[in-house]
Amino acid sequence: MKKPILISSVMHIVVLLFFVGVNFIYPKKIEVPPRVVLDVAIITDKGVKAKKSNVKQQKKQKRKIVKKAVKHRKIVKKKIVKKNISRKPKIKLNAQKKIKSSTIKQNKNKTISKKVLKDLKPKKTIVSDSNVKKNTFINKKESKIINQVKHSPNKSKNTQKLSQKITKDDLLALRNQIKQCWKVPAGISNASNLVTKVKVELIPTGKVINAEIYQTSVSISNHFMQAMSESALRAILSDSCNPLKLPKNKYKQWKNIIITFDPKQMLN
Amino acid sequence: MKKLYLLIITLCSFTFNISHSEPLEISITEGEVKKTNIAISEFYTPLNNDKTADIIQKINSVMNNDLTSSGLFQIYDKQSFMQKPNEMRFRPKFADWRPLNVEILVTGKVIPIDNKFKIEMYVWDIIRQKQIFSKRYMIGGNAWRRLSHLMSDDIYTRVTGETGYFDSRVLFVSEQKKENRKLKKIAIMDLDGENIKYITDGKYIALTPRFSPDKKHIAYMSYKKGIPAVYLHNIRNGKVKFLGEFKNMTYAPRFSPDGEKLIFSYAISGRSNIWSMDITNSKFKQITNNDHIDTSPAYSPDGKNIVFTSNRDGSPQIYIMNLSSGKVKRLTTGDGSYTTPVVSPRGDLIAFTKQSNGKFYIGVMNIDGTGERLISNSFLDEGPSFAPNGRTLIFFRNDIELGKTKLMSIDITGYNLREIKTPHGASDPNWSGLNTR
Repeated sequence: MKKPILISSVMHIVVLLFFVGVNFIYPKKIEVPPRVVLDVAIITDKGVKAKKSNVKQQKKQKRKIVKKAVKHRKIVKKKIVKKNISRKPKIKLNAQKKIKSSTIKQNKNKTISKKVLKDLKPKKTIVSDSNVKKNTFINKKESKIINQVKHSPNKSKNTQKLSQKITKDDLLALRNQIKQCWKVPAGISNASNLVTKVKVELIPTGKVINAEIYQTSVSISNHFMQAMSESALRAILSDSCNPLKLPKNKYKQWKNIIITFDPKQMLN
Repeated sequence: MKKLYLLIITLCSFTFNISHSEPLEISITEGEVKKTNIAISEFYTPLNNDKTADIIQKINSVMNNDLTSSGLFQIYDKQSFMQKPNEMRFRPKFADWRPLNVEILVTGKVIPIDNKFKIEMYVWDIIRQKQIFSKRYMIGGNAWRRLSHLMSDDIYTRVTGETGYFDSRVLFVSEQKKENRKLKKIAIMDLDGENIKYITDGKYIALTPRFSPDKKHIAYMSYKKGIPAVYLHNIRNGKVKFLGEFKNMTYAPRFSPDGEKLIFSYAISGRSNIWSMDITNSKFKQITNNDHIDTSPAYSPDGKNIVFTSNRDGSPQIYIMNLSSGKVKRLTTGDGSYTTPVVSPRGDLIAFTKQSNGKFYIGVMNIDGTGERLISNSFLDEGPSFAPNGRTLIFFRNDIELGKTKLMSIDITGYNLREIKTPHGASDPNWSGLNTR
């Protein structure tokens, strides 16, 4: 009588371990609910009024939401560290639903039917804005190329080829290509003093897989600086600048590039 | 044991040196001055009735018009869109928009609640695959036009870094031809030419309307008894206050930045000098005192300086005067005559009218007089006024072919010259600040 119970429990454990193992091998991406900050502005013909009570309620709600999200993150992080288990999508979805439902409750009106509200709930496909990382810019073929470079058997030969020095002509061609992609917000105030350094990571095909702001001459919280920096990022990630025209045999030289976008010369 | 440690340390430092290679650095000092490609999708609504659909279309149309008029955006035709509003109610599919070269996408939701609408707007950066802005608005059914301007402002601000100016209004002199005479009325309208209201009835000639800095009042000059008199019109309640008669006023008044004073030029026995008047107690103060013609004064945004035109060195040129020290500095040195200077709300530029070789020009220069650029010219271009963000200028042009004056706007870079349509002839525009309602 004890044997079947034992066998069954062992089998359960095996199945459980199997799932745990699978998750460990293929860690899933962490998805945080999208950051949707909504200001409420009531617009009439006579003027714009900020709904104070609503704003206060929203702020409270936001704090709660942030606390909840932080708690969830902490719990999930602990789980990852202790058990080497990736975050389960269920936790994320629960968090999303709670946040969304709380914001919906706040603005709930009797005239909107439940069906409408159901329709407004986000689906599982929502991906966080902050989670749009370099992987989103790579397709399967390109990831293969990256792997090939990483695990190439003729590594010593490749490194010899790839470490050839980049020439002035190469740089000139690169500059010419990028300058055609960069739409400079020319008329903005003090534009010539807004310099952005962008750190770019490339794959051997010349495609940019990651671009981030490395340094700015003015704080990025400045609206003009933000506009200038974003124009630089859009330039380097745009289709017309991808792939960048660079000599493939010198990949090691241009795997990482720091590009300074400085409109001073152009605007003066 | 020590040797082993040393070996490990050297190996570590060696591997660190190998893995740590300096990234290539390049500098891009040139780019293109091109419009940002933007697609504004019609907003999604879960309750699709006629009224909601109508509002969605109207909002979309006004936003398209606003952003096109700025000259900084290339608007996409909605027929080229790959995704429908309901497919993007949570998030657009970026891959569908990239082939169209769209850089910025605007989506939104409209939810009718009784007689009101809850509207949410989302702005997406297609290239960076990010949501970059979102906002919720509540409106009554009639406020859709104003809401559209405010949403356009939000998009403009988020993308360009500048403050938007679509929710602003323009004062001008409407010139209607009637029975061989011109009816000159003071009028106010939205920047897109809609919502025109007439402030004076046209019985008497009314000229040079100017917004007060608090945007609640308009000062203008009228010839009720044949003598120039200045009136203060309250926009909200329509009440008119008589400020005084100025027999020899040579240039219409402008407000000081604090709204407490008016500055104008006044002629006594052939000498035109600059005076200011305290609105509350009607006290006058003489600012310049010489035997030449000083005219067309305007304050700087900080109220510390005034710019004006004077012929003290021969031809009319622009001068700047520090009000506390009384020091005067000549700013323009070119050929021809310079008139109607105004300082940008940013405080960095001065716009002016220049007359040279039988042509009129609108120009801008730095506040210290350097970097003069002429950005428009015609038979008669005159009277520039800055947009609230200092990015665009409005002025009037005499169109000889049409035989009427019209309002024009132009970017300070010299791009995007366009006409602002008015029902009749229009002159002497003055651009309001934001939120004038």
